[in-house]
Amino acid sequence: MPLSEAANLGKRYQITYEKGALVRYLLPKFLRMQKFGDFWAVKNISFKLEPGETLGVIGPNGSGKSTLLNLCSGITEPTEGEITINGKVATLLTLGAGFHQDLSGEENIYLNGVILGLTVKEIRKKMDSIIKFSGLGHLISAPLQTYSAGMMMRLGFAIAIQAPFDLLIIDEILTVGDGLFQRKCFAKLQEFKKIGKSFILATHGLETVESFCDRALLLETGRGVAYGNPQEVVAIYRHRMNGNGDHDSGLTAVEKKRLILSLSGRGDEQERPRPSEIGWVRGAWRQRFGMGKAKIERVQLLDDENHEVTEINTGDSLKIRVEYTVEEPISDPHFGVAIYRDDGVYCFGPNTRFDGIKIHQLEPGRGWFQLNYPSVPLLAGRFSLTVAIWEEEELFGYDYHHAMYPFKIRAGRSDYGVTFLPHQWMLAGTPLASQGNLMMGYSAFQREMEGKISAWLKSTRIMPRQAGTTLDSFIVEKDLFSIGDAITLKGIFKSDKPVDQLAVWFGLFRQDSILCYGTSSLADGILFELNPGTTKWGLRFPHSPLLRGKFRMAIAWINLRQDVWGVVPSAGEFEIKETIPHHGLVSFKREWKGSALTLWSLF
Amino acid sequence: MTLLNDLWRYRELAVKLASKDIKVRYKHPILGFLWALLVPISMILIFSFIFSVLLKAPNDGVPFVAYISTAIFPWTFFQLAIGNSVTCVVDSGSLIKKVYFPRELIPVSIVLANLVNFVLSLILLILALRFLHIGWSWHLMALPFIIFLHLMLTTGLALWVSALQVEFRDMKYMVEIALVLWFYLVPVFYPISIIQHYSLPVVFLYLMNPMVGMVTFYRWALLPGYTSLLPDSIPWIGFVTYTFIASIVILMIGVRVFKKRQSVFADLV
Repeated sequence: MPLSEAANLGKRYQITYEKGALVRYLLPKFLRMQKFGDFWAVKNISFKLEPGETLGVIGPNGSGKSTLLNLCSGITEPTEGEITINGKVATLLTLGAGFHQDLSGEENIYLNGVILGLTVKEIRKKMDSIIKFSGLGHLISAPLQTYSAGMMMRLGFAIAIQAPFDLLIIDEILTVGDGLFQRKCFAKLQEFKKIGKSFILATHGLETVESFCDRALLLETGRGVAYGNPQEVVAIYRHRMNGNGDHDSGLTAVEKKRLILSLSGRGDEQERPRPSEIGWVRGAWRQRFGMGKAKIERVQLLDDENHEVTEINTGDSLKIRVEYTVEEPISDPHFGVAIYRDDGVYCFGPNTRFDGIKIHQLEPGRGWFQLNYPSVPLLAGRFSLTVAIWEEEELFGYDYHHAMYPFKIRAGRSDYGVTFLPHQWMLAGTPLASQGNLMMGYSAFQREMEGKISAWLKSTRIMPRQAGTTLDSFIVEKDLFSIGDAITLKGIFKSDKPVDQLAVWFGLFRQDSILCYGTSSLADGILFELNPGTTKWGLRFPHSPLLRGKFRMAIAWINLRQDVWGVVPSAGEFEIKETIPHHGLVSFKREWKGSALTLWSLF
Repeated sequence: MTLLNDLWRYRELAVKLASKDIKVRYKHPILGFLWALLVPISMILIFSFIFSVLLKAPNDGVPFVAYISTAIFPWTFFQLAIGNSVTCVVDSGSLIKKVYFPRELIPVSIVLANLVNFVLSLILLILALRFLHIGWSWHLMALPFIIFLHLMLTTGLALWVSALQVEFRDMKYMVEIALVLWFYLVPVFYPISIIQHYSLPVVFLYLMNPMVGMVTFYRWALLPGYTSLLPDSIPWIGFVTYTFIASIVILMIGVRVFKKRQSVFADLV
């Protein structure tokens, strides 16, 4: 017998005027005010859960996850279809249901405990383990109003796991709290799973679904899109999130807009796929959407002399001027400008909110803002600009022009990758000054070398030792950095005989295999001389502008006469963690100006 | 009878919710729970001062203060319990949306919390009767039964209004007004005997109000010799039977209304 089975479950909400229920009730039918209409929060949902199995429910915000969970826990009743559950159900839709601020932690344990279905006797017996799990200690006798949100949450979870259940229904609560407590909670859930308890879990944590669930259900605007093996369902969700979904399946304009919003990762903070994690945001490429109220009228790309440009060189300045009109007052908006490379790499997307600029109010009428980059470090390629006026919390955009403004960066230096990174080559611990670009005469050689290196990088085959020169060790001094830190990589070359003209090439890759920056010491006019024995060699990024992510280095060394001598595809790995929230791959110097900005702010 | 079933199964939750209500009520005042005693004591003192000293009100063999107090405490319980429970389901929205438990426990716990205060004031009143040289009679033995009857009536109405309030938010104000009117339809400040002056249909209509019976029963139990004050035209047995049946019917209607509407609570609060 299945533990739980849902057949064609549907829940309809009537969107009506909030007021006048009594009047409408008393009036004859034909006089009643008109309803706005019906809204199916979920429809035609079916699933089956055997004892011991765990179901993960995923989908963008507003897709009906919580409604489905409410139906499963009996909090609301289905409009159509039915759900049967053969066992004891407990719900964890919120932590600390019924907590009262004036009562002590201990009194609240009793209160919350009985609400969750424990008896007073059981609670008394489990009191010690609840207090221990919550880690609150003697604070348990203090009134709840003195607790922090985190403490309350810990207490809530500690009580909840004591409630008896066969099926526990959990709504996204495990993503709150610090990492340590989250792990503790998860360990507890794993324990329950081992002894054959079942869960229905709504979450945005796709890894959780893949690793913890036996089945997964993908919802979109209340409809079941996929159901079954969690890996496959998550893969489908990821695919659809990247904008390859079928948007035109009989959706209304509003629903479509919502879908685009959620699929392009603009749900909310938790919902949004971090560009640095997925690498691509292809959702609504070259599309415009938004709520109205404010309208972006004109976007101009300007050079130093305020002439419009469509092509610039690496290192040139670029001003992005945006003119907009506002129809009605908007409080607490923010402006955003993002640069995408045309293969979808999200380069950099600063906004006024992340830069700490507070815009209190946009008044009706015309206005403008401008983002000035004194020097754009991006390397050759085609790019597109996204310009947006957002609501405070990025829940929705007033006007959002996604990747609508193309521009080009010309090939200058012979480097490759997304962005130029300031760097210094080092020999025996001393930085070497750049000698000017030696590559000019070597372009044919450069091309040939690139081809070889990239082939080696793909094969991850270790190069055979040649001519007795090897990279003996290569280390990154730390493995965790913050944005803007100096990053130094040190290596030791071993050689049997003197080598007088050794060029070194490095490529810096992000975890998702995007080549951020690759260059050769030849581009700086530097050739190393190796004496027999060991030579200390290094590379330093004095002020790394890379944003959050995990990175790895590939190193190749080349003798001018003998071609490529060796390649190490993954020489050093390090992680840059977030100190300031920013979207993209690299951050660069910028300045905000605008009619609604009180200060001209430089970062 | 599902209510009784649920009540029994979830009795601890009902008691916890009620005790939370009481605890929260007396948590912050310095005198704390003492207020539960001080308020009724002060009320008795004020009544005795106004009615015995200032107004020198006529007393039909019973000190007026005793006559008033025996009715005012049951009425206050009724009024507070109903008044507090109107919005209780709506106010517990966050809980209702997140946890499943029998919803009727919310109004029931409010009634229970008020009952605790009421029983305390009744005890004080019984002690005070001694000082007023009224004394006690064997009628006191019937008090638990009367309280139970009163509780059924109050719970029934509390369930009723709290369920309707979810959909019709005007309920709260209507109940407020109804309670004021209702107060004057109950013989608290006037002797029940005055209805003798009215025609029979009016008398019947008046006696349809179960709170008239409740108050009369409390007086009968607390004031020895009170039966003699009842008008002769009212058959005592019929009066008791009617009030008893009316209370049960109101409770049953309340439960039904609540049960019927509770499935949409989570969608509407």
